[in-house]
Amino acid sequence: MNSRSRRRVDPLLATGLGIVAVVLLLGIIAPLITSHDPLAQNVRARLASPSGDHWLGTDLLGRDVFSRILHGARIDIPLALVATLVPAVIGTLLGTVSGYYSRRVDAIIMRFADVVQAFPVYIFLVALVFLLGPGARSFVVASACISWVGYARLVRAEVSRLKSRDFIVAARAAGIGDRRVLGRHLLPNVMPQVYAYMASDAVLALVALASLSFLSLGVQPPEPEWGRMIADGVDRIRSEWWLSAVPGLAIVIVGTGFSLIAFGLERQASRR
Amino acid sequence: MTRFLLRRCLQGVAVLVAVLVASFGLLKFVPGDPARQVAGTRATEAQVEAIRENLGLNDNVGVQLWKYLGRLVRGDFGSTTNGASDVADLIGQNYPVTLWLIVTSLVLTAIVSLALASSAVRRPGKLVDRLVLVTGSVGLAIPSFWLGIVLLIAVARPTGWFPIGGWGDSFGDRLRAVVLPCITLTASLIPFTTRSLRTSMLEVRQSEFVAAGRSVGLDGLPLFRRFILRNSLVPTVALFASLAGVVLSGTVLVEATFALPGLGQMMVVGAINRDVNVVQGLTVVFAAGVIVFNLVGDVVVALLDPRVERR
Amino acid sequence: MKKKLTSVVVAAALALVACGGDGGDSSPTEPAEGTEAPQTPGDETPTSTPEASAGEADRILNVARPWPIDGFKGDNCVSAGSISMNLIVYDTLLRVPENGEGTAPGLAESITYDETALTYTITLREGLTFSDGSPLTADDVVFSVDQWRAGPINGILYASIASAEVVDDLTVRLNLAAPDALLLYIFTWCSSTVYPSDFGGLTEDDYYKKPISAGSFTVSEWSNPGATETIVLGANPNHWNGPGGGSDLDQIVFQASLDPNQQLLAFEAGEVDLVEVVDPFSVRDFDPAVVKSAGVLPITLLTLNVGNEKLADPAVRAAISQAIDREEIAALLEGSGEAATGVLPINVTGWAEGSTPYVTDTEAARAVLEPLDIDLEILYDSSSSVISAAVEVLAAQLGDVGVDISLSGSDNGTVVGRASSSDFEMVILQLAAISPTILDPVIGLVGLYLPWAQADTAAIYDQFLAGASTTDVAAWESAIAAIQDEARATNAVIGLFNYSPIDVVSTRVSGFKRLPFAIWYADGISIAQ
Repeated sequence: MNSRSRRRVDPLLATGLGIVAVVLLLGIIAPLITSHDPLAQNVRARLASPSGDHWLGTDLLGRDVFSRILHGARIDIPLALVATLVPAVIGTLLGTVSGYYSRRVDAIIMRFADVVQAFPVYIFLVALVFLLGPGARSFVVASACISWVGYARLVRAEVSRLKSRDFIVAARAAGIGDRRVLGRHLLPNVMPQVYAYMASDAVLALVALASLSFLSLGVQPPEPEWGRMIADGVDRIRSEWWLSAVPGLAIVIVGTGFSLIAFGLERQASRR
Repeated sequence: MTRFLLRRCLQGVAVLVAVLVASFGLLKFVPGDPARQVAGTRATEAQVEAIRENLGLNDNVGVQLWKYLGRLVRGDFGSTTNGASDVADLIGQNYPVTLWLIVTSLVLTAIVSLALASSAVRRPGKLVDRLVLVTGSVGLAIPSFWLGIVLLIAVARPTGWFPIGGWGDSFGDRLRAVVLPCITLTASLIPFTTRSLRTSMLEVRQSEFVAAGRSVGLDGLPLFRRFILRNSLVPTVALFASLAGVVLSGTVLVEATFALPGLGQMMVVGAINRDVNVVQGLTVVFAAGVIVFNLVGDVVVALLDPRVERR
Repeated sequence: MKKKLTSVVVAAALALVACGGDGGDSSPTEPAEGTEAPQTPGDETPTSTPEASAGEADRILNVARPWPIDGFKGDNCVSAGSISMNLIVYDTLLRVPENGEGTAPGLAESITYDETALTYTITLREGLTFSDGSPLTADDVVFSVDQWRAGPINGILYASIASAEVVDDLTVRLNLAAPDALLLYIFTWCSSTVYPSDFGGLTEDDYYKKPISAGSFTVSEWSNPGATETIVLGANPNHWNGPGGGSDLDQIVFQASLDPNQQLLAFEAGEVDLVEVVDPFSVRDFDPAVVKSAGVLPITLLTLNVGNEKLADPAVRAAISQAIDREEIAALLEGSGEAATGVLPINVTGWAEGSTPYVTDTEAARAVLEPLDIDLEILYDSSSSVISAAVEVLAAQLGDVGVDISLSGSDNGTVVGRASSSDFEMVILQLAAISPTILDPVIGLVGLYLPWAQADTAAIYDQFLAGASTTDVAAWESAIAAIQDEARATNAVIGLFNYSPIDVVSTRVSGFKRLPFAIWYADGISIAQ
């Protein structure tokens, strides 16, 4: 029974993976779909309505919006994933240390987490971006600084819960080293939940990237990033509404994909 | 309980001080000079220098921080760098809007996620459950800055039911003004809490004491209220409390989109002007808000689940 | 140790206060009291328009604006929010006339400059009163001049004044320590605000929260000062130009907030009559009758850090200037601006074109720049849609000739902060005229932008001195032409386009006119019901 349920992929998970993969693929093969360069400007032909040539019209600088939307997938999806992975690694490490080792280390890490959590996010982002300069790097650093807390709390709670379980106590009593106990026995039981959390964190990272770029603190122009495209298009929302609506929709679609993955992973984790 | 509370309070104060020190240090390294912002781009270096001296910006950072903390302890948040207004006054005038936004958002989140989760778990895996799950996935992924504009364009403008941004004087006006911002802010929160509630409700339903409750003849609403709800609330309340920071920072964008005169917009402009006193003052308020929120969360969890207190 | 503990306890109390606030109940916590505090001083001063605050017949002009004021203290006035506000609330001794040339009478009937005796003689209008009905006399002007001179921010504008003395009730004499022909224009400026002597008996702080003033409209209420402030002005029944400056308005309500889209939506819904300074993209499909652009156009400059080794060679800077197609960038402005022909704001008295205009020569630029294979950062203020768009076009143009541009958009604080410490390669800066003479923005070039670019200022400074020593417009023009040529030869600052944001004004409103230098007066505005 165990092996059967493991082989069968959760339908939500499959759908989510499918959505993200398709959008990413569209981004990768974008040059095959459209012949328009996403960066090629034509100021004198700007803000054209959708047509056979420009499926979604052109933006303020006369660039092809459809091409920019497709190319945006190359920026938003990988960046969201990196901004999820980095804090996940940091948070899982700190959470494990916190949950497994001495109370003193635990207290230090958790109080540190409290401070990060209580720090106003906006001020932190603004300060960091101004300090490091705007761009993808600042975004990843900011995510690493803020998002690790969630992972640390999750992993810490799980590790300290499992630590008192019979099979761990037995393993430790048998003289198996800490590293082995953690690697072989504890973490394998914790990771499925971390994966599920990562998928839902990817949604937040995607939205955070867009918000940051919307505030012109994120990915710098001329890169076709979706949040930046919304910001540019918002000026025209009363007439050329698609300029901001379509990149918004792209974010919602990919974000939905990520959160379906999260639900699926969560369900698989709880089924075991 | 008292000892537990006292310890958490002291921890809270320590965290608050740490947040303050950290933000003070961070702001010192950010490019941009408060004195230059006050003096305007046309001022000469000599003028800027005079203002810098006047604002005490030439002191060493440690001295500045010490002075700031000293004033803060006396309840003095200082004035804006241009001297036009008192920061405590400003916070006093701006906080009601943000508070409205937060309280209504939390109430809405609580009501909607309770309703959704309890109807979802009635028949797990069936249509309603799936619908809740899928709409939740979509809601989670909607960027709030985008949703806000869309609501203004697609709802407020054609219907005329809600003002196009801005705040009101009467209770009714305020309620109307807060509806769309509140929806914008909660769209990404509700899926979180709903999911958490649903999971724990399912767990509790399958647990032994619910079976015990059934065996003594409790069923339907009484069973739900007495056992399922109370026990499944524990993790959700904890989650709720941890979302406080998210809600507070969410107000920054939402207030700008809907032109609400609250602390969020004040923070944005404070940051633009490098107005140290405004930013620090708001950092204190926001951080204290998060800490108090977590504290309340802890207390509620402790009350709901007596086992927690022992930790 | 004990002291430390006390502070922790107090901080805990603070946290609890904040908790009370967050709890949502109406317990009288500290912030709640704060709400009342600023209104207290105002309650004691007689309001100018008690009758205006009641009845449906109120004629109210609702104004939405993106920025708050710098407070009501004249010395604090540096930004656009205060420039127009102070002139409405206080009025000034002299005014800017509609065509932007020279000065017109304001609170003063005339001001005469005696170049040999080094004095200004100010003659006030007869029968001037403040909004509370008390007369405005020479005493008040002398008191105000002393306030201006003592100001830490704008005081430097009045540095040439040695003393101010009362000649009679309507006459004030200013004795100068050095010749200063520009002072005449400074009397139109938002820092030259006339206060009642001794602040009418109020403390300075209380006074500036709700000033008693002599402008066409005076402050009835100033709530939520800062980013989201609401300022309610009531018509001054005692203004020299008639009640409310001869307008038919009872009130002007200014609402500041950050999002221009919300403001334009509110305008379309009729909730707002006037939206100040929006970018031209947002309103390109608006009825042209509601879109008003300004006459005097500040210049947007690309400033190159001469001290940076990549930009030290004048030939490189000249090639960069050659690579720029200014017409293409100006096409973004929807007709609210034009391509730059020099480095100064246009439509200002004394402006003159240089002898060598900017030429676009992509081939020549590529020949110089492509072999060098350089990459450069452009720092710019990303809060402006126009600049953000322009800089993208600029980056593409420079990319065409082989320069690899990375854009670095930031907020005004970062841009000015980095620029003023010469921590940039190229930066986009704007230069505006704030008084009706072209020599004023030259000060910005010589005193700020060129030093920031680590460029030599001597040649331009000499021309500036030649111009400033006289009031002869022809002499200004020849000095300006020489300055344009000098800037064109060195290319430390390169003109891109002249542009000013636009106002959106409801067709119900008549008589609104934005004068040069970000000013508008409320006099003569009317609104149809």
